[in-house]
Amino acid sequence: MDKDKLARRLLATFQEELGEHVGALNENLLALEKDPAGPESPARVKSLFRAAHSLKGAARSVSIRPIEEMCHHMEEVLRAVQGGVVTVEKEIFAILFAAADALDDARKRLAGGQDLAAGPLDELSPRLAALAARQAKTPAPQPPVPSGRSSILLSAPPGEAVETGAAVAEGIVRVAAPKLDLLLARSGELLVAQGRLERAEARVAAIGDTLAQVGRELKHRRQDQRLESGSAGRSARAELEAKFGEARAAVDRLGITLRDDRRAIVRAASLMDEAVRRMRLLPFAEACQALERAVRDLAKAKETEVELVVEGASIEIDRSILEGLRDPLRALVRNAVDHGIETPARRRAAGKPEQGRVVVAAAMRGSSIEVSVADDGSGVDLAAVRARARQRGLPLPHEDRDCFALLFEPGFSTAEQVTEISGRGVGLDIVKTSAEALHGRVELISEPGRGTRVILTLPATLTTIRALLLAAAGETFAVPAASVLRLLRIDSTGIRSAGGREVVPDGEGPPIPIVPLASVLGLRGGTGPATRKVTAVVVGAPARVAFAVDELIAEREILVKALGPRIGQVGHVAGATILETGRVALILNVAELVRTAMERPGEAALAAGQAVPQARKRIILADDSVTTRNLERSILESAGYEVLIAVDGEQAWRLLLDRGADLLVSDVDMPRMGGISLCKAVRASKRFRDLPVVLVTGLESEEDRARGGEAGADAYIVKSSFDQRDLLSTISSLLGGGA
Amino acid sequence: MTVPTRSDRPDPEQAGRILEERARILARPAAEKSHADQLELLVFTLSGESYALEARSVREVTALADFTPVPGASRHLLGITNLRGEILPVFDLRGLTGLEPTGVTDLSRLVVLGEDRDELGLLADHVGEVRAVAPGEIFDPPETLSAAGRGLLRGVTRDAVMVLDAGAVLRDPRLSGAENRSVK
Repeated sequence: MDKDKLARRLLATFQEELGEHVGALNENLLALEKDPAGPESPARVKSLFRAAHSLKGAARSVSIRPIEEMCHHMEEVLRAVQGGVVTVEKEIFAILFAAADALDDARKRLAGGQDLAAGPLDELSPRLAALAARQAKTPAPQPPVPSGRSSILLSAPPGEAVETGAAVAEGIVRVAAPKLDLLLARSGELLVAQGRLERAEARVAAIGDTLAQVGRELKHRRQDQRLESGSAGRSARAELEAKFGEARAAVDRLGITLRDDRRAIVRAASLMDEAVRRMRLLPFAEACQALERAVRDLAKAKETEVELVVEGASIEIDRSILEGLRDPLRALVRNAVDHGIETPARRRAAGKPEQGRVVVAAAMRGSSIEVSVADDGSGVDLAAVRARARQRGLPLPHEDRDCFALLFEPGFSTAEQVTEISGRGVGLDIVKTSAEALHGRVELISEPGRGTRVILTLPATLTTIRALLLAAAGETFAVPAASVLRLLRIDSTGIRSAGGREVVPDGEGPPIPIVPLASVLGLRGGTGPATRKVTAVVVGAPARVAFAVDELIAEREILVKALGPRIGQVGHVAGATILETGRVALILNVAELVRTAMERPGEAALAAGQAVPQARKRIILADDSVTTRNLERSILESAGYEVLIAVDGEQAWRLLLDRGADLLVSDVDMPRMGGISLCKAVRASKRFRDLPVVLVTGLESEEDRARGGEAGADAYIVKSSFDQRDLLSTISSLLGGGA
Repeated sequence: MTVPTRSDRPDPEQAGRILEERARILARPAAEKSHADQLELLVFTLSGESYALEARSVREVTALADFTPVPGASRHLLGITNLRGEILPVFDLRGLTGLEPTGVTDLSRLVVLGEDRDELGLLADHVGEVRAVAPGEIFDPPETLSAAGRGLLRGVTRDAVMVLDAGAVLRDPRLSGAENRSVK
């Protein structure tokens, strides 16, 4: 068991190392190919040799023989080069590039748990061996470095030893990526806990205010009663007042301590969060590593000349985003070279420089990262896109930008012929899928003859995202803020029907389809707007759609939790987050929602002129007894109210803050926070000051009733006289009639 | 040309395996004597029927405080819940054993299973005590049970407690997020 774990960990480390070495091989080979006789060449060859050598050792330690063997042959070939036995020629470059690819392929296979057999390694290893053997026979212009098993000389090239020493001296430690993820998640939880602490502080402050008020009340009464009571009563009261004074002072002190602690914790937590985030940052250049190689290979094959420019290479991006960027960037760059950049002859004819340009750029835009790939090629042929859409029976878009959106559909390609290199189609759908997986969006802009530009807009970090919390069908959902274009609040009379679909006007542009979010999700209660006012969230990708929701709750940073391998990707759900109440809210996959919304048949769910149902009023019900809770709940629900359940005052208060309500029904005696304190908290809060509160209790005494009244309750119902009409009529009158 | 390797000694992996085997043989008599005969079963009820899981396969029993339904997911997935800050899927076995799901009450319990970590929670109405049962007292499940349900069972006790096989429960593909394709 432990040994397996160790082996797995070693293998994971090896894969990482393999990736780095492949990067180094490619980088050095590219540089060497550009300038084979340059002053840096010997250093490049040395680096190549070192990469092959370290990799050989690493492969041996995890017992991966095919890699070990190939690296050994690479080493031999490079040793001959290094020793000046041979010069690096085309053939050697080709085979070494192929070897780097084969190693990268092996890395992918290892990551996917696949076998290495029958891979490109099998074929390349003998070719390298043959090359090495031929080199050995080549007469040397000078005494060659012994080409045998001189392991003392080779096991530790001097350069390597020095570098390792330097790394240790600087205190650089290699940390597995999942550990960094964990650290960030924990730090995120700390930030969420901060929010709770803030509320605790507010609550203590509210208690302090209440106490102050009670203090003033006591003083008044003392003045009123001064003349009446005897000296015994007076001294008893003085004692009581002294105790009360102590309690007040204690609450005030608690409030101050809490405030200071919160400040200290907020400071420490945010500094730590920042440090953790900084630890995870890598330069954008890392994601661009393989691109130059891809451009070189493609341009060679297409006989075009292409220059790759990386802008914003030093912009630092969270590693989770960076990882997710590799594939889409490769697809986009390949696409630009393969379909965008014209042949030198054609470019000359069009008055452009013969060498084409592909610019990969990263830039920060607020809390988003904008990554773009632009080429100065021929641009997207809109007529061809339209023709292709017609051919495939797709609806023809009027707007150019909607035409571009078609390019992201799976299998939609405008390349006149499927080229050998890009194989199957353009791969733009892969780009879209990747962007969506990163909670971002993608956009394509093109000008005929001038070129094409694809822009990915992504949240700056994956593990926490800025999200919009909203309610639909009584549930709270989160929508990544990056995918929200804007919010709408319109009168339902403004909703029109077009082609059997409900739409809302959208400024200058064409009207946007509007659908209730709940019915797209297949939830009950999804039909019929809550009021004549419709609140909707407008998203922009892959198409513009407005989703009508019950209400918007808040916009804030949320901690993204994966649903885990067992649930994986389910329909419209991209992940989950834990709300401050401890409840789980789902993070919606906006692209999937849009797709479902577009596929659904049109329906008239929102427009005015339908029978608009009365808004369902929401009641929060707090009681620590299961029986009472269920009884009251069934009474209220059958009367048509929406009921949210809380097991004590504290939970009720949190529910209220989180979801809001039209009325509160609460037991008096409950653990943690009783009905009286809850009621006081409600009255002390600016937001809920006027919320009707009904106290329900088993205690029947004048004193309790007075206590409830003092705390600001609107009604006081005793359980012994409890029957459903009593409760319902009270609620109905407090809510101004009707459920 | 081949790479030279040392072949005069067993490689570390081989050596490790030999040592582990030896340790296992040494440890066997002491460790297995006392509990070998008895299975410790945690009994819980679900819609009036009794089920049991081997206690050592249960990671935890907790109150099901709250859960969030996942639209579009398998009907066996009741929803997801927050277990100490992590997301835990909660499944309802009743759809698999042929019982009608009757909803969730405030008293519902969550039986948490998993190999290295908390993998899933099973809904239970009540969780009883742990009882020891001899393997001989677990009989083959009744023929009347659906084939789908039988796959999850180790057997049934004399007093009709259906003993679930935790491994089979964890491996069952129906206990995942996605609805079976045939259904859609």
